[in-house]
Amino acid sequence: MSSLLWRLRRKLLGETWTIPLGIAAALVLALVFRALLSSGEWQTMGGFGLAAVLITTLIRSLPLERRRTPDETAAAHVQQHDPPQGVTRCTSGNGG
Amino acid sequence: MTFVLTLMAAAGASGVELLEALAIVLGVGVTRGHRNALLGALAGGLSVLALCVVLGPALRAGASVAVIRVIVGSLLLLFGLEWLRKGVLRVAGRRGRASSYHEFVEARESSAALPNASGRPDWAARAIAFQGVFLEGLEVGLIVLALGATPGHLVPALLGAAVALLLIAAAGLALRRPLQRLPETQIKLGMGIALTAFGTYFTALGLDAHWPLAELAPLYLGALFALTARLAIRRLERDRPVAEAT
Repeated sequence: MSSLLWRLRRKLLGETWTIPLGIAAALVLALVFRALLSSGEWQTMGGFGLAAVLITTLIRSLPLERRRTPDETAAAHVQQHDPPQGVTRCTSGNGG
Repeated sequence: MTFVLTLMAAAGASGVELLEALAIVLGVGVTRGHRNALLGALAGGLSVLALCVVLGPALRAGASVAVIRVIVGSLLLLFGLEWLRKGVLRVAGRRGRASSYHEFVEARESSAALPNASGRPDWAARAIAFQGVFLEGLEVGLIVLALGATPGHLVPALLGAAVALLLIAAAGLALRRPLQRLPETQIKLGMGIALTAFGTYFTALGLDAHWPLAELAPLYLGALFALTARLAIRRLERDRPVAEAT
C-alpha cells in the first residue's frame, strides 16, 4: 500500500519538487503582476511572463552545470585516468 | 484547428501511458496467466473510470470557466514539465531511455518471483496488473479530463483517448516485439512539449491574459518549449561529466 502511495505521489507530482513549486510560484507571480499591471498590459504580456517563469522552472529542474574552466577539465581528465583509491567511476548519470 | 490539436495531444499522451500499462499487463500475463493479468487490469481500468466519473463533474460543478482553466492548465503543466524534464535528460544521455519493453521485463520478473498460487486465485499477480493499470490509467484519465474540461474540448479529448486505446489494444495483440522498436523517448519528449504548451495556454487564459493568434497559440508555445528543450539537451551533452562521456 505504501509503495502504491509513493508511486502515486511520483506520478502526480513528479520526481522533483522543483516543478510543482515552480508552477505554484508561477501562479502566485501571475496573480501579483495581474494586480500590479494595468488590464491592457497584463492581457498583452501576462501569458509570455508566465511562459518565461515556466521555462525558468524547467531549466532549474535540470542538472545543468556551469562550464568547466580548462584547469578543471584537465583535473577531471587526470582523476578519470588515475582515480584516487576507494573512488569508483560514476557511470550511472544523475541517478534520477 | 484546436479540435485537431487537442485530439492529437490526448491521443499521444494517452498512447504512451497506455503502452506502459500494456507492457505491465503482458509481463504479468506471460508468467502468471492472461486471465489473472486481465482481471487485475480490468479492476484497475474500472477504478480509474470511476474516479474520472466522480472527478469530471466535480471539476465543472460550480466553478467559473476561468477557475477551471487555471486548474486544468496547472494539471497539464505538472505532467508536461515532468515529461519534458525526463525527455531532455534521456535524449542528452543523462538517464536511461524510456522503454515499455523494460517495463514488460520488470513486470515479468517480479511476477515470476511470486509464490505459486496453484489452484487458488492469483491475487498477487492481479495486484501487480491492477497497480500498473491504475497508476498509468490515472495519468491518462487526468490528462484527458484536463484537456476536455474547457468548453468545446471534451469531444476531441475523448476521441483522442479512444484512438489511443484502440491502437494500443491492437499493439497488444501483436505482442512484445513492437515494444522494442518504438522511439518512446522522442514520443514522450514531444508529448511533454505539447502538454506544457497547452498547460501554459489554458493557465494564462484562466488568468485573463490574451494570446496573439488566439487558438493557434499552443503551436508557437510548443515551438518555444521545443527550442528550450533543444538548447538544454545541447548544454547537457556538452557539459556531460568526463567519466560519463567516455
